[in-house]
Amino acid sequence: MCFDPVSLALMAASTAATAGGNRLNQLAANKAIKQQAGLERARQEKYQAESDQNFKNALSDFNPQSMDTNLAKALADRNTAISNNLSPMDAGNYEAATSNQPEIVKSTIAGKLADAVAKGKDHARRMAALGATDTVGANNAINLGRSASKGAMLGGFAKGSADVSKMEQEAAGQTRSGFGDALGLAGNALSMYNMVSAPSRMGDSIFGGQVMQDPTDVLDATLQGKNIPVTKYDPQALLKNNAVTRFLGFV
Amino acid sequence: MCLGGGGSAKRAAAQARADEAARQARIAQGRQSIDDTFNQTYNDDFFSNIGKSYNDYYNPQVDQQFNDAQKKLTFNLGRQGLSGSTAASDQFGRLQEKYDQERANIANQSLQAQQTARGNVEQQRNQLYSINNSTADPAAAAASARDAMKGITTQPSFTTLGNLFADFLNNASAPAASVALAQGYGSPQGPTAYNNSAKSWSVVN
Repeated sequence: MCFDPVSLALMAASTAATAGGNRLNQLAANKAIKQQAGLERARQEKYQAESDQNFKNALSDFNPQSMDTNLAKALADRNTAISNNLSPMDAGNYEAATSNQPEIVKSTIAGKLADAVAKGKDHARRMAALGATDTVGANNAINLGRSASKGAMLGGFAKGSADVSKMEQEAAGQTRSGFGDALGLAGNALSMYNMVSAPSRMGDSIFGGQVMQDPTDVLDATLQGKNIPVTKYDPQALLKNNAVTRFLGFV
Repeated sequence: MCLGGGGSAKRAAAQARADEAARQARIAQGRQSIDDTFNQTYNDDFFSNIGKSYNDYYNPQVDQQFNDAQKKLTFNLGRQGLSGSTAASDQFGRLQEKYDQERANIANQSLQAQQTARGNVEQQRNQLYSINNSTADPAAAAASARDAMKGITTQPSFTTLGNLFADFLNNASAPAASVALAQGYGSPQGPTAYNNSAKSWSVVN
């Protein structure tokens, strides 16, 4: 089999147009995928920033300065609560015991009671100190629970977004360039044209022989007992009447 | 062939993105509903009131027992002729100290009750957060929050106090001379120890 130069040129042009169209489509798809990936990256960065802030907030409860501050506040609050529940010293409580006693006895008892009250306050302070650590720990546990819950929520958001992003990127992968499609179409048309026109350029029909120009002529001739008019099949004439080839301007 | 391509896939992806955004918005809104509902009810005042209720329940019991103990001590000391003694002053001082300790214990336990209530409430809140994350339904989250509040146990268990001053009064009811000796007052023999089982005092060498 041999090819004429026109056929070879058409074949090359067709291949180039098809390949170019595919390449353009691939570039368009890549661009769309990249765009979707960029959007998703921005969303994930936002979730990550929120998660980081959430984590920092949770962690800040445990740094030495916060612990000291929270412990001091818990200690003061507990000390106030406990001290406020101590009964104010009421001398009347002991009036029956001291009413008929000499002043020296009364003052001795008063002194002992004052000592007892002071000891009670000390006791309250020590008790507050014991409980303050528990208070801070319990408050931290509450905050930690909320942070963990928020972290889980943000993690769920990030995962949900990533799942959708996969779908978006798959859809973006189907993006085609209008020019790429047109070029591919032109390549196909060229290929078709070449296939159809090559035999005539080689002096032969694509059907490998002579054909009637018009089948009705054949019928008429047969009925009238005339010789059947036979001509070479002309594919170029056929292509001239073809809408696609006319549109693409090949003929 | 369709120029541009992947139209239906893109529409499906866009719908999925819109659905995901709506889901996230619903979860955030549900979480806010839970927080609003809980914060309205379970605020600092609520927990302070638990502590106050605790104190209000137990303080009168402690006070009553203290008054009884104080009267018994005064009577016992008077019966033993020790009313004006230094030992009596000391006993009154110790009774007052014991009384303050018991009041401090009540306050401490009321703080503990508040802390426990906070923990219970927080546990419920976290369960609601989890439900909200999985259902993404703010209305359901708010309704669950209201239902959950009915089931939260914030009331501390209240039991009647035991006899707080029994041991103190038992010791204070020891024979007068021994009490005086036990305190080291007027005793030529030095410090003594009270044997509770034998109900007697002995000199410690």
